[in-house]
Amino acid sequence: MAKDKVVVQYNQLPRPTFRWMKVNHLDLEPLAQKSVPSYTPAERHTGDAAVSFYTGRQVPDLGDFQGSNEKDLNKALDESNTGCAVTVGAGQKGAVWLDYTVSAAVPQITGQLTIQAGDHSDLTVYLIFDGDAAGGYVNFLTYVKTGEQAHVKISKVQLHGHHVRHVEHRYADAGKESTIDYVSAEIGAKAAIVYYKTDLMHDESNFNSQAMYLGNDDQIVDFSYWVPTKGVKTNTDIVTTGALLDTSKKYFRGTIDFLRGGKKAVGSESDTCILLSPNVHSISVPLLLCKEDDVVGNHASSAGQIDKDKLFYLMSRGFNEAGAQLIIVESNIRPVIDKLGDTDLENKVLQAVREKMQFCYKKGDCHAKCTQRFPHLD
Amino acid sequence: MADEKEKLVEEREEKLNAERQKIDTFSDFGNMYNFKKDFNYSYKTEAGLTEDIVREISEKKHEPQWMLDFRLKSLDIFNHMEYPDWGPDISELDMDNIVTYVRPNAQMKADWNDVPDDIKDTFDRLGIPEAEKTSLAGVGAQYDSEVVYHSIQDELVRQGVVYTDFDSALEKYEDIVKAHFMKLVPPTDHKFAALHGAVWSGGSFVYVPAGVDVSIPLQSYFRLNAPGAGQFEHTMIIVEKGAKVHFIEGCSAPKYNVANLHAGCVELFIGDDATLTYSTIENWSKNMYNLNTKRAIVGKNGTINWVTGSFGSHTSCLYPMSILQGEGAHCEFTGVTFAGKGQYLDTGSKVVHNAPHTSSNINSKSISKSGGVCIYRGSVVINPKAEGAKANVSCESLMLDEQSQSDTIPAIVVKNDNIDLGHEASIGRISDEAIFYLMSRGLSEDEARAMLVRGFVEPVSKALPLEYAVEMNNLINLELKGSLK
Repeated sequence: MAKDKVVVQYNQLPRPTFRWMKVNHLDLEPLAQKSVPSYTPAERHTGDAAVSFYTGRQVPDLGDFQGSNEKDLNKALDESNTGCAVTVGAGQKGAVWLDYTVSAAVPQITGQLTIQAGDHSDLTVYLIFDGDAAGGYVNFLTYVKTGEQAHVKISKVQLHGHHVRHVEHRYADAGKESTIDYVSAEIGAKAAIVYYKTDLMHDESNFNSQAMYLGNDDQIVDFSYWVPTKGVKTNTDIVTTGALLDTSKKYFRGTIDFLRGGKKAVGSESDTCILLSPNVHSISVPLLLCKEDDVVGNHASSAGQIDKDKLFYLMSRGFNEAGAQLIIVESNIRPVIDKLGDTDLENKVLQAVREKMQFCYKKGDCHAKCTQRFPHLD
Repeated sequence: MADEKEKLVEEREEKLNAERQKIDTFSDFGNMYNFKKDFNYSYKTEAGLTEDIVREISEKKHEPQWMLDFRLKSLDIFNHMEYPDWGPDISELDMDNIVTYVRPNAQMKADWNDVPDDIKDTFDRLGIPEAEKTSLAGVGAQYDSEVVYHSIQDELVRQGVVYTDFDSALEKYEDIVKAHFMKLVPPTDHKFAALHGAVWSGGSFVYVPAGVDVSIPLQSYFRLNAPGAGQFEHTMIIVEKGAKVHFIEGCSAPKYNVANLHAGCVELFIGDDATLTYSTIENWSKNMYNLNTKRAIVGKNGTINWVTGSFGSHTSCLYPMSILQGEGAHCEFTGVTFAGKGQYLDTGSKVVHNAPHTSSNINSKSISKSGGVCIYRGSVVINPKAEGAKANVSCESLMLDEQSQSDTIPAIVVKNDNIDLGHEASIGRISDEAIFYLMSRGLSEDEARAMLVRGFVEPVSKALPLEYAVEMNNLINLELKGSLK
């Protein structure tokens, strides 16, 4: 990017490193944010979950949380065109589906979602982002607060078209002995930028995030995590896995921040990337910051082509090369997809993966094999 | 049966006594580095950094015009460049208080007997002449800003090997120096590279002709005795095609209440099929800002081996960089960093894969204790041309108490698909089970911990010549003394 070009910075690393590597943040050209009409997503819910829509700001003060980009975060806080509050009371259980669709009528969504789970509650929120429009922009803030021994899971499927910039700022405050689970499938959008901060300040709180991606064309997928842990016996597990095609780029910035006092904490982060084209870029910056000695922290990252032996084996069993590649890529991302917890969503993601790899039944020649393996597709 | 038991008890007692003896002798070992000599000099510049000072240094050294121009250009870059916005806090380092050039009361000599007594005594206490006799093919010794002693075995001279101080190299091999000087680390690289370009002084020059195998190591030792001074030595090593050499660098200084600065620069040019092993045992005093830059460029099927032990300094920023430029070039980095009270050691390794089938293996260990801060900061870049590149990074951090800090900040950029990359890191403390096991075999808790720490750094010790491995282990023992719970 030329020096004099105006850029917007997303996903700043909490502890920057060498400037020459250009990994401390993501630079993108600014995208005009238009004045947008108020918008209500498609919604349904089950169990005890209560859902309400609002205008204005309901997210409480977020302290020093700056989100993916401070300006965008403030816009999502103060000028949102869609606000949704999801709550479950103490001991209650429920599930909510929210579908945010970008369209020519609503090309930009500036939204906030507030999730509050009482003590001993169990809530699953299925977040679907789809649709496409020229100049599409999703700027979305998710706020999660859990009570003691609560469980909140957010299953996110992002299937935007190629004109949309998708930016999500997600902040979570985990209560004592509570668990926050994120399962994310980032398939679409021209640029998918997510910034997740989860505070594990209370004892025995847990944070698990599993994310899969499949980049193609000139798509950019940027994951940033920051998990400060101060509670005793907290557990953090961050997994991203995916594949890159064409000239796509993936950034992974993971920071597990073991603060003093957070004894017996365990944290791990891993990033696995399959490289399917010579022109892809895979950038990985997995940080472990540690001010507490009584912890166990690990990170691992790997990148490479598909194992040629595996490919050969599958091709010797009758698959053509593309079909064999698909199977291997799927075997890598399938564990995440399976955790989404909603069959329809899982199928949508699988279908999108196959389309991206030019293997949907309209394009490929292995439809029969695919449907044998995944009978629910038809 | 009883005899056997007695024998076992005896053996155990022997081992324990050996451990105890090691711990008891640590203090004496510590004094080996932290002794002060009177601050004698034949000339020094004023504190601070001005154009006049830069001109003065160049004039005193009778340098060619191009070098003065280079210094002035570097000064200009330094004045206009910002301090890095990442890394340790160096705001307490005030360049206005740093004396950039101190010429000791000695000329460069080729015989230890000709070196002035107080300086000779310094290096005697550091064991340099003894090491020269027993295990080195050549020795260089720098005191403050100038090299005071340099020697090389006659046999190597006959083979065409050059090992000399940098001022002499500039005089005798000006064309080679001019072609290589700060080409790998340009003054624009960062603010302290620019500072180095402006005020560099001393250092070593090594040239190993094609096919020559320098089987016994060369060593340069850098001692900074002057309080409030900077040391800016320049080391340049050129290893021609198929040649092989091991270079050892040692550094130390007595501790003062004012900040000292070390901003040296190391440039290594490794030809096709050549191998250079560059080992460093760094034990600067705890008032030192060690902002050193080291870089190697490696030709086809060449190899750079970095072996690094970082123990001293108040603050360190040290990331030896390997540019794998030729097909099949290889880099091996093995390093250990040990940060104690008041230390902030930000160290690591950088590798750039620029050619097909290049490979790198980074193995870093760090230990922090008594509030010390250890940062592993590394980078691996695999560029589009590096098809078939392989990179492996492993960093392990050990924290010995709850006041300390240990961070790992690696960054990996991959720009082609035909590569194989693996990276793993872990942070934690010594396992209670391991301590319990060793204690159940008769060791005290301190002894058990010391043994485990030594085991943790074993990969680095193994990569060093025996004498230096012993020195490193002694440094670790010294650092551990009194810090174990």
